[in-house]
Amino acid sequence: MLVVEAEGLHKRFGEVEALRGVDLQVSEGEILGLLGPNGAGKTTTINVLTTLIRPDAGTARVDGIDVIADPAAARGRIGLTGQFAALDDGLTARENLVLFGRLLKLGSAGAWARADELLTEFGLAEVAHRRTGTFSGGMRRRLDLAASMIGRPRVLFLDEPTTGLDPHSRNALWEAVRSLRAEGTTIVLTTQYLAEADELADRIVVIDHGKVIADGTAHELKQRTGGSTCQVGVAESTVDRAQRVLAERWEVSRDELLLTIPAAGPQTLVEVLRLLDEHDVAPTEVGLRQPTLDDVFLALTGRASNPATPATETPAGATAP
Amino acid sequence: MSPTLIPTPQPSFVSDTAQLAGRHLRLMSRRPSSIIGAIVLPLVFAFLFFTVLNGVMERAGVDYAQYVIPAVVLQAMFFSAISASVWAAEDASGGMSARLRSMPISRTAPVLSLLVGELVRALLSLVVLVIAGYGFGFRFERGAGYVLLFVALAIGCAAAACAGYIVLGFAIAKVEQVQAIGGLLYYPLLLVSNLFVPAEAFPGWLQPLVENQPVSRIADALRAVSTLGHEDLGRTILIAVLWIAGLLTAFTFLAPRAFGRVR
Amino acid sequence: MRNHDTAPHPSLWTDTAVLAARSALLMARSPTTLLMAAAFPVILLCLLSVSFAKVVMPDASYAHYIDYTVPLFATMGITFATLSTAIAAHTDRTTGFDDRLRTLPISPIAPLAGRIIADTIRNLATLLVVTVVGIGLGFRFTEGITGVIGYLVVPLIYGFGLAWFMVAIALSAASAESAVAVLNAVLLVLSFLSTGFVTIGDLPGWAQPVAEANPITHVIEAMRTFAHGGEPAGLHVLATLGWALGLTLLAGYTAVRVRARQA
Ligand SMILES: Nc1ncnc2c1ncn2[C@@H]1O[C@H](COP(=O)(O)OP(=O)(O)O)[C@@H](O)[C@H]1O
Ligand SMILES: [Mg+2]
Repeated sequence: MLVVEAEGLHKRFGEVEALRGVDLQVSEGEILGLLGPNGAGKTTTINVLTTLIRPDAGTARVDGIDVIADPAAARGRIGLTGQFAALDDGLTARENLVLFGRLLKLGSAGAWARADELLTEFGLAEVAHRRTGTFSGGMRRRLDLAASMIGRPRVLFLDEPTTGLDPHSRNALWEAVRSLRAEGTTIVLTTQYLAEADELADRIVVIDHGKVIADGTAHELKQRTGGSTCQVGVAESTVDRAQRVLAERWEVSRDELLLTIPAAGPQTLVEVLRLLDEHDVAPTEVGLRQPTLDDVFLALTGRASNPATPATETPAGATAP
Repeated sequence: MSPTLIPTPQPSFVSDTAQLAGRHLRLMSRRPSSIIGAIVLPLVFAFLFFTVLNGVMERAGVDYAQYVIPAVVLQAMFFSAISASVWAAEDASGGMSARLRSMPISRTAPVLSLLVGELVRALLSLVVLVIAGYGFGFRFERGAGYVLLFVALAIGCAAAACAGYIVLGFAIAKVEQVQAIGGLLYYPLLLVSNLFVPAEAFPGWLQPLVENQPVSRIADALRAVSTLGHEDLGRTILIAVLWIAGLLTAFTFLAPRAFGRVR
Repeated sequence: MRNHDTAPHPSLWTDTAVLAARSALLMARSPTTLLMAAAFPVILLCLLSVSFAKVVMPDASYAHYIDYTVPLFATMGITFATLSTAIAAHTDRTTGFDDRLRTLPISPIAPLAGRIIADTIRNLATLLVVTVVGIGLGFRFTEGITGVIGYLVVPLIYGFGLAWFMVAIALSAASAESAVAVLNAVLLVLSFLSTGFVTIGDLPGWAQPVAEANPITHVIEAMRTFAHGGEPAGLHVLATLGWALGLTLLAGYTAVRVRARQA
């Protein structure tokens, strides 16, 4: 069953066309990763789906409800953890949660009970009495997530939940998201981090300049770049010879002293090494490399995703002396 | 665990406003600068104006305690309004407005709760100032009904000012800018008025403006209901009420729209 | 290997100049600071002078009261602008900028001295803006160039001492917001309980000794004498120097100590 269905979403802010026909489908129980660089239109998409802005054109349904025609009904089905934490620094963690519980008509006792439940679930029980102004970034983010779970939403929208978090807090947040999915919540999360989408999402939608440019599982997207490659580094004196030798059998691309060959599997690596050995070329480094989502992005758009993204393409192989 | 344990919550105008107003009051009560702005600063101004100007005003034949307490009360109402604009901007620039707007709650509650919270604060300032005023020699010279009218007019003014400043806060949504613009509005409104000195003290060409601007008109009414000897009591009150009603209507029409526009 | 001769050496002058330039640049780019330092005193000058003139000096012209109050509003401008000094110093402390400076091979006095010098430049700007607007409204110098110099130097000396005080507070206070709220009230009292608005004889008896001891009174009285003669300025200049020196020594000592302790 589709829990989120959006078709042809358009949104223009003055000169900027933030959305240029976004289509989106999310099945029940799925984690969808909405991946794209800064300014791609992720937040605008989330804002449309969470009733915060009306699109100029297009339709959007959440849990079967048309969010444009009946935003009030849609609000009962969704939870939003926006790009900026929606917490009051002057309130304690528990007070923050109780407030939202009261607004969701859980009643006083119900709101308290639900707050305690979530504080425990998100590992915040011990700091429940502390004002959130004193919280670390990771704690705030988890509390923010807890706040959007109070009403047990059918769909949870998370806008860049881990941007700015340290790795430890990020892992804790990932764990929290996974356990929500395990309870049956459908989740749409946006991220600029390719590794995060890879790690969390069942399916990834890549968005750029307000358009969906790819849609599939992480594995499918990686396939589109042509599978894994074999990389060999060689000394300057032998690089021309090595290229010539390898080019007889494979399509070789060269980047300074690094030669890259499409790999069918580990077998290719063995063959490359044997061939080089026969021609007296000693590699300085070899590796079999899985494509990363960075490659995906590059292949789809012809440009790097985001200069700020940490490089993850360290060759996963042994380094010869 | 089923994700649909609870029924879809329904917006409730009263309950949502009460919850959010409670939040606002609780946050203010924990912010030292809010408490100073609500209690200490109005007292300091009352004390300073009375101390510095009482001598010269007596010479000019004005009973300054009667004259200035309504003025500092109105000033405190504007402090509430400025506070409202800052809170509105904070909610709008953080994620709070977005979350509230994505929740199944009353659409007007987030805006109205800010107003309600600030009016409670304004009432506190008013009570503190009147008590201090009795120390300076201020008296309610008419009956109890007029005391209530005084309170109603002051709080009405606070409501109109708060609504206007809330529009500003949500529309601009940046704390520093909101503070700056709010201040630039506040000074001419309060200083080019008859709040602290009578309109006759201003140069002739400025007097029509000073006499007729809303803050002066409301101050006239506050003085008329607290001090004996004002002619045209009914008319003075009516003009103030019309100003308050007109401004309040205009701003309450705009405020939810400004809130809806928040990014 | 790096030669020892080319390793950076602390230099009080260069380091101070660089940091003063940074502070001055940040001030010039901060709308809030510009508002506090320039717009605020000019607004008060225009609006308060015009409203108080006929009350305080019923028989004199508006220009005469402007003559009387320009030194007050210039001094108030300097006084309240130092709040932004406190905010900036507090920000540097909490953002880690101070910590970075501590790890650099620079003179330990330079960070504080740089800020104070930038402040003095800002104060001079406030002084010039208010005075020029005042001249437009009728303010006049009658005592020649020495008078003008004295008029400019005295408030700068006062601002220098006050800036040290603000820096010391900023380095000790836990919350900038609360500290500013309290200081704001204190500075209001100082500004009003002076001979700035009314003559000493028009203040109530108990307030007269307070006003006489108030540094703002001394600054303003000295400026008045330098601008248009009257009773000799010597004592007021001495008192201003005394206050500034006292604040500089006491607050400067505190600031340097607190800074060293936080290291
Ligand atoms: N309220 C707005 N007014 C004007 N431009 C906006 C507004 N919101 C977003 N934009 C613009 O729309 C584009 C998409 O923004 P956004 O959806 O926030 O991107 P993302 O979340 O992927 O970083 C950007 O170019 C952004 O500058
Ligand atoms: Mg975004």
